[in-house]
Amino acid sequence: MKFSIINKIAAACLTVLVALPVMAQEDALKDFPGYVDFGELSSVFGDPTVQISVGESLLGLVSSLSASEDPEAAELFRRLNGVRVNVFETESMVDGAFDLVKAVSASLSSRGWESVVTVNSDDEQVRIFMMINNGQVEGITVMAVEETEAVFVNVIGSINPEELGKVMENFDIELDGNAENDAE
Amino acid sequence: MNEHEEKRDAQIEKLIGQLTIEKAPATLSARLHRIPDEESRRQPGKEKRRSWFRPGPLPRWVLAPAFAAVPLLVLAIIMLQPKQPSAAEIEQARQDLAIAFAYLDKVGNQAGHEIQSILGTELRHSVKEPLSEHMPFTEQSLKEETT
Repeated sequence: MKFSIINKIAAACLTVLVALPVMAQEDALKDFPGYVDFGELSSVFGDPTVQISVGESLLGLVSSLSASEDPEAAELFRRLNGVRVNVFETESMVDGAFDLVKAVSASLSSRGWESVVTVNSDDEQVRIFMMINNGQVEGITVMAVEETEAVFVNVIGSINPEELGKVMENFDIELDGNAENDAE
Repeated sequence: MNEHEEKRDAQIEKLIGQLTIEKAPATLSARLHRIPDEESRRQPGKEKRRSWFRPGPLPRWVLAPAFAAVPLLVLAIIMLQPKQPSAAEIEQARQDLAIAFAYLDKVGNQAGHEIQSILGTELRHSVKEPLSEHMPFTEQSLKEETT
């Protein structure tokens, strides 16, 4: 009996220790002005189909490794603190997704984020926000909800939109195997 | 054991039996009792370490969590060390970034098309309606041309 309690305490300590680095990374990103808390996305949409979170240390390494291959991308990555992507399926819950986008948008506006693009159509909602301090973009937040999926992207760090556009052109990635639509 | 040895042992025991316990003088006793105190004053660090390593008898249940904490502490120290990502992790991060930027591109394109189509429709309406209102012949002439 005594040992079982000790084992449970040890297991709990181990769990906390394993979760510590992940929590530390997320906590480190929270301190940046460009960070956005998308709230409890999973409670609205369920498990994400795509979930990406790249922190500062990995961005730095990717930057140094890409320096010779793609100097523009390397320079962009060097000044980024984090990139987070959450993609969810929205079938049968588009209304909930629209409401969430509106709620997050209101919260961002109240916190000094600047609305750059707003699209409100019957079947699609897109919001692009930028956090601008002293003429410098410190974060970009993209929320796009359509009939099939909801995409939430948060890029944290010093960003030059022109540079970002050039880097995006260099990437040749097919999403959902729908390259034609992506290329349009 | 031979007879000679037995005899000798008996003599020794007899002599021991004849010995009387003599009490030490009080000054000598006091002096002997002072020796540990003097030693501890002379080597204070040594005495302190001894108290750490010999804390006295402890209940066993106190020692069990202490022993369990040692590997956990070692593990915590290892995990809190700045971890160097492996080549596979860096490659994965590269792919993740490519996907992230592809999503940004996709959303940007969609928004751009939506804006363009809305702008196009609105501009068409806002230009065509005043023209039709003020120059009705344009509609008429267009119909004639098409017929």
